[in-house]
Amino acid sequence: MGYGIEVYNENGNLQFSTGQESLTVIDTGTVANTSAVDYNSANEILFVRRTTTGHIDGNTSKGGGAGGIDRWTNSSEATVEYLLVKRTSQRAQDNSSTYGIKVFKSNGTSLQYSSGYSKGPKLIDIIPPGSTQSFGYPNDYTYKPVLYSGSLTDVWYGFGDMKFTLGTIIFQGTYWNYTANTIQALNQATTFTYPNTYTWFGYPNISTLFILQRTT
Amino acid sequence: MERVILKVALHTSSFKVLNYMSYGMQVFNAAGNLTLDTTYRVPGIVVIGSGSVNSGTTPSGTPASYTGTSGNISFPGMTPTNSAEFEVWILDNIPSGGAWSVNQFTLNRGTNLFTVTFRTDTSNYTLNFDYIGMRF
Repeated sequence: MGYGIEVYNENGNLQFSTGQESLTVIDTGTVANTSAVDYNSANEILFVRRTTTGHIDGNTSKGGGAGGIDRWTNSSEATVEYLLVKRTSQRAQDNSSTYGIKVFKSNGTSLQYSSGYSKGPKLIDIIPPGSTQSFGYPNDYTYKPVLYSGSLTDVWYGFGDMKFTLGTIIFQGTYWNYTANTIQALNQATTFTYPNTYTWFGYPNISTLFILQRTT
Repeated sequence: MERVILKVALHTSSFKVLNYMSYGMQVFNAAGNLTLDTTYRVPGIVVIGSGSVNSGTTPSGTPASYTGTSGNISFPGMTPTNSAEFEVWILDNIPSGGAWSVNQFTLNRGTNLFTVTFRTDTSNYTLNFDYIGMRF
């Protein structure tokens, strides 16, 4: 970087840079089973979580939401919580701007960073495509890779794309285990072998996966 | 801004504002909530855009699959090995039904760029995707 400041946290990870804009939480809510939440993937990233043990499955539809934005439909057989984060340059502050710190882009108006948001995202992990692999039947969790292990309090799961058809496809699904305090990945699909055999095959994760924690 | 509350601590012993911090920065908002703490790791957006990759027409293996690699996509700062700091967020990249049975999507890291490799059982299939290059 040629100008500005960068700050690293106590583990040496990037905490703040004037070179890149950051993300802010814009909306949270719940989505019932078979219901949907719309989001604009050009500016927003959708995260989900559940507060009880069980699956999170669903289907993304690019352009399938109201007004042509994207849509995620919940197939988890339970109500799950959702969270949307947005680029700071695209989001007005929702907290008093008379305290804290603000950094603008060179145009003097677009925010790179601000403490004037009531909530923010704290990155826990980002998992690139092709780095996890599921095996076995969907409800056998022995061979499902653990994406996250630790307290599940205010922990959220982001997926670039998700597909689910009961008994046939689970892409980018997850299993939340509140006994073991883990989130496991499910990427599987069935293949039919004539005359009557269906076999589940495991796949690597197709999209990037994101684990974060909401702050304040 | 009328007032700034900014706590900064450096790792050098010559300058330390708060003796319980060792590195990083804390920022509080007007409500007194800690919005940035010394343990926080906050993703920053370096590049954002859309790309596509075509599976090609050359079959491989039995049953046949088709594999293609995208052109270079710029991502300043990325290197083949710095995945702990620079990573790509890929969205909307599951192919439509019928094209995913041998689906494999791989991110190939380069220097200041990346490509993606896509394998499917469908010849000449073009997969469109969105991406966000993040630093964290």
